[in-house]
Formats: sequence, structure tokens, C-alpha cells
Amino acid sequence: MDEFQHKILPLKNKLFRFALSVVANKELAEDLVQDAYVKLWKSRKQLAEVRNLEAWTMRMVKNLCIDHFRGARSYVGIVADGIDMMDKGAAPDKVTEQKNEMELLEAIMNRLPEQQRMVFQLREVEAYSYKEIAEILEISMDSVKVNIHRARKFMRTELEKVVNYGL
Amino acid sequence: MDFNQIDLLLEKFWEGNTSLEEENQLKAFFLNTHDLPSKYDADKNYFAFLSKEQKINIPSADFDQQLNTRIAKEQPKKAVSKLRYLYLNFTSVAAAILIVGGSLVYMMRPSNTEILMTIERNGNTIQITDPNEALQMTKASFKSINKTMRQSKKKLRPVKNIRKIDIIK
Repeated sequence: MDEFQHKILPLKNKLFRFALSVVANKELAEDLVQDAYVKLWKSRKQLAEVRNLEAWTMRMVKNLCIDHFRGARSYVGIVADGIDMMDKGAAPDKVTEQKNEMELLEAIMNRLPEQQRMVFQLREVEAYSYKEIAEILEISMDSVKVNIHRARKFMRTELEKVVNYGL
Repeated sequence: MDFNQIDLLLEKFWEGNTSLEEENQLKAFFLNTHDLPSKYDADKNYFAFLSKEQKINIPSADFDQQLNTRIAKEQPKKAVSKLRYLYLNFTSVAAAILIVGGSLVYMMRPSNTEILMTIERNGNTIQITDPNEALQMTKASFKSINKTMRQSKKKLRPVKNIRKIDIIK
């Protein structure tokens, strides 16, 4: 009970940002975080036994997000607040139509493959260590490093195109 | 931090080789330094984007309220189901006790067919449970005894002499 109130509830914005980075839809991200909290509430008696509660909670949100897409996925692309994330060929043109540079970067980030996007979010935005990210995503630390390197490289390349050529 | 250091850190950063501490230094530098050379435009935008992303919060003002409502819905359900579970268990045990107890009481009840009389007739033992029959049998017995006594009395004769030895025997 203490764990739930004092350690998990304060994570709500972090959980929301992470869910948003995966599903790219605010309402859906909020619903999934709510689902995660209800699930956590139901298992609150076991929370005291969890070694890294924050990583465990983040992992639960990740699994809910992925399960959601597995259940609903037969898609060609995810529509994220009006931006097609998956159609890589068409995305740069659409991106250049955006006036705000931050929106452009968001669109670029959303074009990252799912796992790179999750690693990017956890490292760049939430500042988790490679070890924690590996624990949350249930992948190896080497895989985390490879993913963050590729994500940064992609972001950097796309960002330079926007800055230098207005693409 | 001078630009040479920044360039080195940036090189490490884009290769994915920086520590969290070094990344924090870069974030702080690009957020707090103005009038940077144009070669840093992409980097500056990148770190500004990360800073913006860190500030995203749950948009619904009533998120906590919604969550409390959902959790509250979970609690009574659980309580009711638990109560129902206990109730079902209790009634099952009570029913079992009633069945076993009732059977024992039935089996150990005093018998209505009390044996009032046992007689021997032609070498067979007969138990009489009917009170009227027992009464008739008793009357018949008394009559028989009475008849036998009267017949026997007629055969009685006064004793003429009694020897001491007969008494002793």
C-alpha cells in the first residue's frame, strides 16, 4: 500500500511519457497508464517484494502498450496525432510542412523503430542507466547500447537535413 | 566548459559512448548557453527537444480522480466476492454439519418399539411390544398361576412327623 501510494503513483507522468512514446496517442497513452495502475493496485500486496519497483512499473506499461498493439495491430502505419509514423517515404515531406521545429523532431522521433524509440525515450528523456533500460525492456545491455547509438545517429542525420536543407 | 570540450563530448555522445553525467553536462550547456555558433544548431535543437519532452505531463486534470474511481470500483467487487466466497463456504459447512448431525440423531434416537415382555413358547423366544397384548399375556399368566395354586392346594396334607435330619437336608 505504501509502495503504491508513495513510489508508484508519483511516476504517473513518467509512465505517461513512456506510453506516449510507444503508442504516440495521448488518450490511448493515458488509458494504458490507468490500466497499468489498476493492475498494480490489484497486485499491491506483492509490491513490497519487488526489487526495483520503478523498473518493474515501467516494464508493465511497456508490456501493456505492446499487448495493445498486438491485439489491434494489422496496421500499415500508426497515426500519431495526425502524423504518419510508419510511412518513412512520405514522412519527410509531411514533416517539412510543420512549422514548429519541436514538432519536426517529434515526427522524426516517431519514425524510429519501436525498440529504438523506447530506448531513446528511456535514455534521452528519462535518463535511465543502460542497466535499468535493459531491465525495463528485457533486453541485453549491449542491445540497449546499439539501439541508442542507432537512434541518435538517425535523429542527428534527420535533424541535419532539416537544419541544413529544410527537408 | 569550452567548445573543444563540447566538441569532444558531442562526438562521444553521437557515438553512444557518453555516461549519464556527461549527457547531463551537454544538456545543461545547450540549454543555458545563448548565441552559439551556427554549427551547433542541430545539437541545440536536439537538446531543446529532449528538454521539452521531459516536461510533458498527463493532460487530463482529473487523471487521479478517474484512477480513484476505477480503483474504488475494484475494491467493492473484491469485498463482495470475498464475502460471497465466505458465505458459500459457511453454508456448505453448515449443510454438511446438519446432514451428519441429523443422521446421528436419527440413528441414536430411542426406539419406539420397546420390548415389554419376553416369553418362551414351544422353545422359541417371543418378544412382545404391544402393551395390550402384554397385558393380556400377563392376565393369562396370573390366571394360570392361580389355577395351579388352587389345584395344588387341594392335594396338601398335614405333616405327621418331621425328622431333624429332613430339616437339615
